[in-house]
Amino acid sequence: MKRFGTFSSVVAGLTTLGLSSAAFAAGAIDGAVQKQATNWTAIVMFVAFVLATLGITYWAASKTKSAKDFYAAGGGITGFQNGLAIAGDYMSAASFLGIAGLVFTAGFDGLIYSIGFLVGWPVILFLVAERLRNLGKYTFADVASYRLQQGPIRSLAASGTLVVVLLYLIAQMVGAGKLIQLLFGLDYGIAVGLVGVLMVGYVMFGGMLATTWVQIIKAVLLLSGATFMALMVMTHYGFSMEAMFKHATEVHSKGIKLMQPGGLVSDPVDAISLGLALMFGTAGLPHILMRFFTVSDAKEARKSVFYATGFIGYFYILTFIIGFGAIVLVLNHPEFMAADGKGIMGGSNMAAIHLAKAVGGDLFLGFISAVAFATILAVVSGLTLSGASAVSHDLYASVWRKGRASDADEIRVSKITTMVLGVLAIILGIAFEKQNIAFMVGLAFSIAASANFPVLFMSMFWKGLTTKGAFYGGFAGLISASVLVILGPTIWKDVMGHADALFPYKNPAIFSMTIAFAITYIVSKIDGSQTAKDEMEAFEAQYIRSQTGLGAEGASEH
Amino acid sequence: MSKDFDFSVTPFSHLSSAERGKLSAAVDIAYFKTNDTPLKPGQALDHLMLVIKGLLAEKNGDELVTVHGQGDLFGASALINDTKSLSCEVQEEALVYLIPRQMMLDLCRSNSAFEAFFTSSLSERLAARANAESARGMASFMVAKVGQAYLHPPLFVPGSCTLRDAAVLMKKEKATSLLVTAADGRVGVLSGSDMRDHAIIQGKPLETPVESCATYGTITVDQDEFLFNAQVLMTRYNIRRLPVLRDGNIIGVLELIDLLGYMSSHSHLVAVQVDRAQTLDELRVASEALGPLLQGLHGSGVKIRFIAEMVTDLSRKIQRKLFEMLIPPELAGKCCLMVMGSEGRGEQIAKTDQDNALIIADDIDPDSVRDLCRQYTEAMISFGYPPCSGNMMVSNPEWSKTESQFRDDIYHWMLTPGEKAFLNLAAFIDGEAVAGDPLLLYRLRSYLFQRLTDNQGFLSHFARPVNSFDTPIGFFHQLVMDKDHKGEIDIKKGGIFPIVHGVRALALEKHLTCTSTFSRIEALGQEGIFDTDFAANLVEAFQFLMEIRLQGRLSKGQLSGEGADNFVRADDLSKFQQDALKDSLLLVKQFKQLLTHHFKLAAF
Repeated sequence: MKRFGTFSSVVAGLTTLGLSSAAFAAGAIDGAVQKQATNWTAIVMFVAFVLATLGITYWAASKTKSAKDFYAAGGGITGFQNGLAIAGDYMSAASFLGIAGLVFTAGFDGLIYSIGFLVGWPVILFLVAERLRNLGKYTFADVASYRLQQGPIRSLAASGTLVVVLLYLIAQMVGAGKLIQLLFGLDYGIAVGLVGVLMVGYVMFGGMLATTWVQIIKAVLLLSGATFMALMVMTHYGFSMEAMFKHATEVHSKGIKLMQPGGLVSDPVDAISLGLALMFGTAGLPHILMRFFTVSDAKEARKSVFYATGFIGYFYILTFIIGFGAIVLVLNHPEFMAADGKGIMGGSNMAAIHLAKAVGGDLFLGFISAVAFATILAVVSGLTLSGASAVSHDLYASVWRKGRASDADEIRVSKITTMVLGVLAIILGIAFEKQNIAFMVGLAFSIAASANFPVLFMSMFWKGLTTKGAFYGGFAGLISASVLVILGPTIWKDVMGHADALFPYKNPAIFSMTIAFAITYIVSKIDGSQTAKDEMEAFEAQYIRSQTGLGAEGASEH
Repeated sequence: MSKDFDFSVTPFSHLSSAERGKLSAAVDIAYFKTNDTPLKPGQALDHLMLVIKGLLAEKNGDELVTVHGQGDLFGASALINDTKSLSCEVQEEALVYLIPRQMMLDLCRSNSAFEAFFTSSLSERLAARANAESARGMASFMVAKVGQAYLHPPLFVPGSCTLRDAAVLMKKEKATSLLVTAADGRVGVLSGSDMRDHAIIQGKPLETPVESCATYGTITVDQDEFLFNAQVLMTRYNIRRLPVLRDGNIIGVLELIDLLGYMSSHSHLVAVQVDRAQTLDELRVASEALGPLLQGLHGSGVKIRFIAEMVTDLSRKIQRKLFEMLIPPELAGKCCLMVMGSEGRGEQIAKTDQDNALIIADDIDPDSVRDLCRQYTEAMISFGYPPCSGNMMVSNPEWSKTESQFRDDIYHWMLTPGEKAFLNLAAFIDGEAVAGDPLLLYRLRSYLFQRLTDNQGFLSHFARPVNSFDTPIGFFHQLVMDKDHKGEIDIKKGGIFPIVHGVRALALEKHLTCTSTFSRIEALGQEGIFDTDFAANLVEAFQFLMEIRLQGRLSKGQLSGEGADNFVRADDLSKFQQDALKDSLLLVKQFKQLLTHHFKLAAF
């Protein structure tokens, strides 16, 4: 590791806190809840980088607020910028920490998540991006209620959105909580609480920041950080993958099985189910759909997916290398191992963080932690905004007040929702401490693929869809997916502590998606009401609009 | 010590001299060092503090409420409402007047204007300011002399003239009264109501000499007398007209209606001149009269909204007349002259840049009217309306097209949104038909509305420029000066543009056909987008911002459209105006938040 000593020595020269790494190892004496002694160098770097990131963001945001000409902001965000922003939104801590962690524990099979997450993008490109932009809608609820009835569709959409947001939030909370716990040596519960409070504060007071710029900056930082880590790992093996894999199979307990499929998801039903969820879930993620709203036209929407796919694909290659890098550079190195000998400190989710220290010293550890943390804050704020908007706009204003709520009322409800979501995220974040965060995100994708995607897809492509069909089908997907997740091994066994799961598969999407599509189809077919006929009639207008971007007459008003 | 108390600061300017005496006697001066806490949490407030110098931070619990600087009052609302949780910290060593709590309460009880300052909402405070301004306008009205008002030429009739002849003469001369010279040399006034009383109610024959019907002992007024006194006389004697004397001779009659309409009569005159104009030269002369009229109106205390309405009416009248002069009648019915931008919204307060366009019926070749369009623009320039910097004028073939060509333009603006498209669209949405066939414009507008129905995405992009500029009000509610213009604030970027454009975007979403920002706000209130208070506050704030922009221009001598900028010097504003400006900008900020939520601008 001599080659990587430069970073540490710079740090040692700059600060007088060179003892950090010794303190780091010595402090891990608390057993299962691994409290750490304080690593001051990393903490100082962490705080400095978080502040710098926020500073850059603020600067970028203020740039957009001092335009030269009145209408300079017209025309939206370019495809390239938006592509980076999408990548920033999508490359959450879950992808970074979680996938690296999965590769670290399961080797080759960790790729199933990377590939699943990536394959979701062509689906978006070919099925929804352009149409979504042409329809000019902000959320999945807005699209689905274009020709269907507002009340039932918005209740469904809001419920689906909330469940997805919550599951996704849990994953981010676990990631951030672990990170803070590891870095600051706090109790996990306190760490999660702290993150929750920061998150609510960020959304409440930073919500006006230019979201696109936040995501772009974040994406660039994360991509550069991950690139540096992967490069460092590769230089270690003279850029030979083979040498790295060889070394990995030697040190890992799985041995050669590390390079074989089936290490992570052994059951074929589970594997296909997971694949389906990851592929189609992306198109049902509320905070991703929003991003097609910010470009000027369908062409830019397509371009942004093109760029985003490129960035995301590149990023997943990096995480794969990082995961293997962690096996060779972190595993079995005493300074990173938990005191009780069960795996590394902070669990497998922290593999990438440890690797940062291994390749770049405390300075780089601080940097990567800060980037991961800023990433989590930004993703969480996007999620919370979608959740708050689902409650305030869909449930409160459209369903409860029947469209008669003023914007001021909506803003109030949205603030309250943010608080409630924050509290829920803290409680659930504590409950799900032991779960791999990429897996938790996978669950969020299952729900999105089962509840939101079928309705979104059919409302855009199938003339015969009626309100009743969408309502019953959507809820069937949502409920079946949620119930199967609860009855499955993850929650029934791991979180609730029962001996055996009632439902054998971890990933329910293959069942719940089928249920959702089937029920939507059947109910729509047997719905012979006049409204159903009108809704089918209205498909034509919606279709023209989704192809051309301009309204045919008589579209619904709300 | 307290002799120097500054009573020109509101609300103390409302106090009577007796009250001022009492206050001066009770007031004390205190000095605090930085970080002193004159008021700790939980401590009862027994003095109101008026900051002479320094900075006081007002806190509620741990939360900073605001920072008070020179001329600000600390603890007013707490004092009246008896709040306990307030605390005060000195941020910069301070000198303050201490006004005893009991004194304040006594003053509030005895002086309702004083009390109103502490209890009123933003809109009430702004309205109070507007009243104060119009009182100042009254003052300039008060120094005007009778001779400056419009005087009806005196119509003398001998006392022997019969009632019928007198009536015939009045009708012929379009007079409302006659002066009657009695046989004994007295002069009386015979008005329409005198005739009613004698001829109809008392049933006197129509041959009765007017001598016996006129009112004598007539009150007269000298031409050098203040108009104000003339009004007092009319009110006291309950009469509607006064003969005006010069050197003891009657030179005319001042009518109450002319006195009250002293200002607006000018506008009426211009209107009449425009109507009568037969040639371009005559029309130019008429349009030149607009300048002095505006000069007189600005600073007259008339609300800016009404000045704008009047200027708009006159400008449109001039343009309509010019259109009629230039465009042959057979063509006039086949095209539509529209004004756009601020002119379309009816918010111009001077002769601003021309923003106009000509929509031509499809069966006319647009090239055939090019020459007329050029003449039109040249004539307007000669009338003192500067050319549009963006070349949005009928002389530009881009803005003189057939209905279908405009329809294509609108389609492209929507299809390829961008800076130029939004600029054009914004101008077009504010367009109003001035002359010709208004149907041409209405058809295009309904096409636009129809195409944009339910297109949330487009509307959000369109609304997005409202957040292009920071509103110059800081975290501590202090005014933030422009970086490139020291001590000045860009009132357009900071306040007027966000209001105008935000309201325009909402109006586009709701398919409102009215174009003025004021009427759009009112209509949006009815649509339930704003609640009543917010709508009222927004109107007041917008009006106020326009007023101080005008004031800034007047002080720089930039009344004409050319070279006028949007900067206001903070030092030129009175304490009261600064407060009102802060209140208005805070409201703009709130409005921007509302728009950000409504149009989902946080996603960008």
